[in-house]
Formats: sequence, structure tokens, C-alpha cells
Amino acid sequence: MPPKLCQLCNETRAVLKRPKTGQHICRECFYYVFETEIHNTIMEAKLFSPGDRVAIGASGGKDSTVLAYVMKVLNERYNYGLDLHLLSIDEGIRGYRDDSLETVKRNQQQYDMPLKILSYEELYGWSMDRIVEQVGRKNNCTFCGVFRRQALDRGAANIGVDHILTGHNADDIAETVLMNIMRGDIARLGRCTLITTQGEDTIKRSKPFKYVYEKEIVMYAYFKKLDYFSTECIYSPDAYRGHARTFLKDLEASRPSAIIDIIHSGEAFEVRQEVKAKAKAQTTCKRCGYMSSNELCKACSLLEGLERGMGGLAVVRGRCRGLESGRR
Amino acid sequence: MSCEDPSSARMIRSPKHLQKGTCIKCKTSKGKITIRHAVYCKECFFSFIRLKFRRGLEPYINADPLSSRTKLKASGNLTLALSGGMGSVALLDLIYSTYLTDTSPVGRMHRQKIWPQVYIVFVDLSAVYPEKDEMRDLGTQIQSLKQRYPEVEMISARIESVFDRDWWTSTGGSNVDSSSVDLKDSDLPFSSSLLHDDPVASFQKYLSSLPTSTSITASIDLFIRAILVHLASWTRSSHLLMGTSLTSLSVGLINCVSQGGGYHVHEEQEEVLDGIRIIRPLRDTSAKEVAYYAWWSGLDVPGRQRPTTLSGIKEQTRAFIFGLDRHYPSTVSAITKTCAKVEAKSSSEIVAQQCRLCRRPIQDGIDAWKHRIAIRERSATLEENPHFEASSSSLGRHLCYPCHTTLSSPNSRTSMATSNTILNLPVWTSLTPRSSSLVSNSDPISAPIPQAIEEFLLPAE
Ligand SMILES: [Zn+2]
Ligand SMILES: [Zn+2]
Ligand SMILES: [Zn+2]
Ligand SMILES: [Zn+2]
Repeated sequence: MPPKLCQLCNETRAVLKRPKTGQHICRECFYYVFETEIHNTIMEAKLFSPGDRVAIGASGGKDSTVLAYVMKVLNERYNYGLDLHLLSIDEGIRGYRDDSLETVKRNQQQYDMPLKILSYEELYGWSMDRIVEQVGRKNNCTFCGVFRRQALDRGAANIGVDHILTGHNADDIAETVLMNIMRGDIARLGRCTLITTQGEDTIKRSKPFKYVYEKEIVMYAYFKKLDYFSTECIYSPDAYRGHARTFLKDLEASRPSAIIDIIHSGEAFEVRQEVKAKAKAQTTCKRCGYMSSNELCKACSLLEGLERGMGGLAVVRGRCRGLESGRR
Repeated sequence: MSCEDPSSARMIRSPKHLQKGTCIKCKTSKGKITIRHAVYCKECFFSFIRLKFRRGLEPYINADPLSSRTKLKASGNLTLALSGGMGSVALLDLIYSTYLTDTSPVGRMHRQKIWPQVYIVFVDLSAVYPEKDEMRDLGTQIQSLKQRYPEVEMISARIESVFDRDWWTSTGGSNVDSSSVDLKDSDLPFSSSLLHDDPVASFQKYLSSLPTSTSITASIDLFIRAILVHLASWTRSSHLLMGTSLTSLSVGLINCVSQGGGYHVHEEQEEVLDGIRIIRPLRDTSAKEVAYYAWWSGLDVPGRQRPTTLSGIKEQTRAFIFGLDRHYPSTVSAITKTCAKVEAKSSSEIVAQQCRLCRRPIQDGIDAWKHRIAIRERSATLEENPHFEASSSSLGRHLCYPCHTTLSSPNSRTSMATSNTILNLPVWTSLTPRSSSLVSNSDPISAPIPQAIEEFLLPAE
């Protein structure tokens, strides 16, 4: 049997079956479609203006490593005119973050981008390892989520950037659409497929990988021999999200387009983000002085609970509910 | 990327041991069933189910929703979809015992009937499972089940009737077309000629040409719905009732979302086609409650076991939701509540084209969206013009997102077959837009509609 030709260029031998479309294509065509689709996403959303200072939230993992690489490629190819930075958060997870940060430091050299690292320890006085010691493994992702979000914002402010790019991929977004429907979170459902969101502060967050399949990110990193850290966070997500993730993988196995199909569905529920932060009297956290719509910012209210030695669910339930401004 | 979710801790696990005690309602009888942490005796359970059923139906009976609910009067007949499954059997029993017998409280109250005539429609699926004898027997079993309910008329239709122009015309269908499509190209080139004229062969060719088993289940569901609406129209019904339980509705909604049907979640819950309201009166009653109702009422459920030869997104969703229901019982109702509250963006647009297969609205710009985020061609024209437009003789641009996905999205193992991809389309499929087949009895729209857009408008709610 003669080697199968690439279904896109009809010239070169096909070397891979594209996870998103099932087409058999060559390596060059894979790079082309992978990068061009991201470029299309960026252009359609009018994500940048020339001269923007933009930070890439870099964890050393595959998503953000590929994001940093592709952003550099596209910025040069299409003359976006962006000033790109790497921004890393050190959660203080031994054997995970300390190693992945080494990867980020190498990326800084490889991609020639300035790097800023901020740690939970210096920001909050607590490392994730110590938080887990106190609250156990059950709700640690709650802390990590709130802390990292705020840490990224502060890091961005620190280096004079008002736009952060994160490596959330299509699989993450599809999973979140399903999760938000299943737990009845209409506010989050309305914004989880938006490419750019803006919280209580002035810092924008965007997801250029909104339509990029996780499998293709891995494939791209593999073919490009990108240097990334492949261990998953040792503090794994909760069981409920785990179910949703397994379910999504099953759907993808049945029909590879399921991931973008779900995102398409999610876009039906998008609610244009009105500037609610402005409508609500914006104050500052009385503890840390950071922007907040409540007396205490989310991070500080979690911290207060920690310090009182009552981490865990009680804090999460009692405090977060009132704190999430988007929630009804 | 998953460590961002502070609220998942809120999912509450169900207690492992449920306490049976005294009924929460009458506070005297011994509890027999626990429904979401509340214990009911048998009698109170029945009145609870009946209450939810009436709440799920009666507000929709009168053509004018604002008119008094003490006098229920439908503007046409009633058609009830009877698959033989638990939900439809329970629904038939509830309808009959609530409205059609003199002994029932509502029956006495409404001496004159709410609906002049009540029909049950059974869609025979034996052509889907030619090797399964039990599917052939199901029709006979449904016949005998029907004996329990005099005054109700039964109509049977075979699933392959969607390709049977004679049958379609003889049951009041107009605008019957003959057309075929080629699945090889994702634009789906359309032809107004038929391959052959045998309905069973057309049906089986259709199913066997589809790219995934997900598509097979989706197409069967679409055909069943089309036959039900068609027959409801033929019987001059104002209401078409489905026995969908809360649990099945959740499965249906997640299935719909998973196949790209986010813009149709409203239609998935209730819709009006040809002036017929499609209602699911058991949408607040869980599968477990329906099962207890059927069991304690001594109902035969002939279609309890549906052959499970198919496996795709719907079957996976079913397994997932029923599995979750065991540990996180609030999930099922959370799904339906979410979907009842969200408003798809399209609902604000006045003019939407109708999908030629499922007749639900189509959104603009799907072609461009798909070509932007999943590049399938590397031609010069495409690079210059990302806002790709399919040619006018393609069915693709006249389909909604999920229907297009059904016909064109490949599975993970094989690429689309390269030969023998032409198949006949169901009789109502046509590229020329048309008005609904029967005069609809929906509410008149006050402002005059410009002629050019008239046939694109869906019947008003
Ligand atoms: Zn190629
Ligand atoms: Zn604070
Ligand atoms: Zn009782
Ligand atoms: Zn459709």
C-alpha cells in the first residue's frame, strides 16, 4: 500500500490523524492549522492592539509552554506588536512547582521573554503545602484557585501589564460548560466560554487556546520538542469534576468534535459582561488593601479562616457564597 | 487547569442510609418511599405525583394562558406519544385517570371534555433492529395495553414512514419531496432525485451511511419526533404529550448540549410546531418516582427494555446521568433548572431560518465559525476569505449545527467512507423554504409580517 498523502496539501505523506477533525495530515500542515486557528481566534476576538504589554501565565506545564511559544511565533509572523512577558506563581508545592519553575526559567531563556515569579508564601504567608497540612486534601483546589487568580493579578500589576493570557484549552472549557450546567451556575455558564473576562479589577484575562484540543497541544509540543513539565498537580481536583472529565473523554472518543460542539453550545448561553464592577461600589480589602467588592477580598477571607484554624468546608461555604459577586 | 473551581465543594453527596419513618404529608401513615430526603406514604405519594403532573400540564392546556384555569378547554385534540417505556405508560395512565374517567375528581369537575378526542401514537422501531423479535412484538403488546383505556384511539406508524411519500400524503401531509444528499463532502451536496423508492431500504441506507452511532440515535429520535408531530397535526391535535421524566429530560438536555445544540435547549424542553404544543407533564417527576408510580399502579411496561445495541453520546450521557444521580441526586434537577433559566442568544433574534431536517432555528455564521476554528481545507481562496460560504445547492447551509454535525462529523476510528455516501432524505426535506403543512392554530401575531420573512417565522409560543 502506498503511503497515504496529507489530506490538506496532497503532497507530503500524512504522519498524524488530527484529533479535532480526524483528517490525516502531514507535520507542516498540522503546524499550519494549529497556529492559524489560534491566529483566527485572536483576530476574530480583536484580542490585541499594537504596543500592548501582555503577560502569559506560565506554569511550566504543556498548555502554558505551548502558549508562550505560539504567541512568540504569531507575534513575529503577523506583527501583533506585543510586548510579551512570562508570569509565574509559586504555590509552594514541593516536588511539583519547584521542578516546574525550573522549566519556566529555561523557557525564559529559550523564548527570550522577561519572567516574574510571585509566591504564595510572600503574598499570603502560606504555601500550598502548609495549607494542605491544615485543611486536608479535600478543598485545597478552592484555595489554590482563589489564591492563584489574585496572585496573577498582583503579579501583572507589579510588571505593569493589564492583560493576562492563560493556557485554558478547549477541553477545559467544554468541561466547565458541563460542570456549570450540572451545578446550576448560570452566572458562570454565561461567561465560561467568553474568550476574555474581566474580574473586579482592571486586569483582562484571555484564553487564546479556547478552541485548541488538549491532544493537539500535546502533539504540537511533541513535534516541536518543546521543553515542558509533564507531571500533574499532586493535589488532584475533586471527584465531581473528575466524573465530568471522564465523561467528556468518553464523548470525545465517540465523536471527536464533541469538545467544540459543547463549546458551541456554551456560546449560546454567553452573557455579555456588563461592567458590573463599576456599578457595584468598588472598595479595597480592609486587610490587604487590594481591590475588592467586599470588606475582605476572597483571598483574605480564606486566609482569616485558615488562621482561625477552621479551613475546610465551613469557610468555603460560608464566605465564598457572599463573596462571589457574579453569583445570585 | 482545573484548580480554579471554588464551588465544586458545594455538590452535596446523598446520605448513605435513608431513614424510613412517618409520612411527611399526612404525618400518620408509615413511609414507603423517600423522595429527595422526604418520606411519603403510598397514598400521599400518589397525590404528590398527580399534583406535579397537573402542574406540568394544566397551565398549557388553554390556548390563552391567562384564561381561568378552572375551565380547561383545549383548542384541539390530544396526541400522546407512547413508546411503551415507563414514562409514556405512566403518563397515559395519569391522563386517563385524571381527565377521562368519571370517577376522577377532575373528570367530574369537567363534564365536558378538555380534548374532544385522545390519540396515542406508537412508532414501531422494528426496522432499526431487524434482528430483534421483541421489537416486533412490542406493537402487539402496546395494543393490549391500550385495552385498559377505552375511548383512547391508537395509531401506529413505522419509523421508515419518514421515507414513505404515499404514507405521508395519506396521513395529511402536503409538500412531499423527493431528494437525496451526498455525505462525502461536508457541505452536503443536495440533489432533488431519489436513489430508489423503497422506504425500508431508504431508511436502512440512511442509518448505515451515518458517520457515528451517535448520529444513528440522533436521527432515530429526530424521525420519531417528526412522525409524532405529523400525526398530531393529522389528528388535529393542539397538544402532543411526551412521557419524559425529570431524569430523561436531564439526559436529553446534556445530550443536546454535547451535540452542539445549545441554541435549542429551549426547544428541547417545550416547543410549538405547526401550532401543536409539545409538553412534557412528567418533567418534574424523577425516573424513580415514575417507576414507583407504574409499579404501585400495576401497569404493564412492555417497552421497559430497549435493545442496547447502539452506543454513542446519548447512551453515554444516560449512563453518566444515572450514575451521578446515585451519588449526587441534586444534579439531575440542577440540570433542568439551569436549562429552564438560560436563554439562548438566538431567542432575541426575530428572524431565524428553519433547519430543513429538524425544523429548529439555524444561527447565522456557523459555516464561518467552523472554518475558522477547525480548518479542513488548505486552498488559496480559503486563506484569502476565511468567511467561507457553502454553495447554494448544498444542504449543509440549510441545517442547524447539531443536524450538520449528525451528518458530517466523523468518529474517532475511521475516516468517512469514500464511496456509497449518497442517501435519500426524509420526505419533508427540501431546499426551498415553505410554510408549515397545516394551518396552525397558534396565537395570531399582532403586527403584519413582511412577506419576505413570513415563512421563516416559527409559530408563536
Ligand atoms: Zn500537508
Ligand atoms: Zn485582601
Ligand atoms: Zn401520607
Ligand atoms: Zn436541525
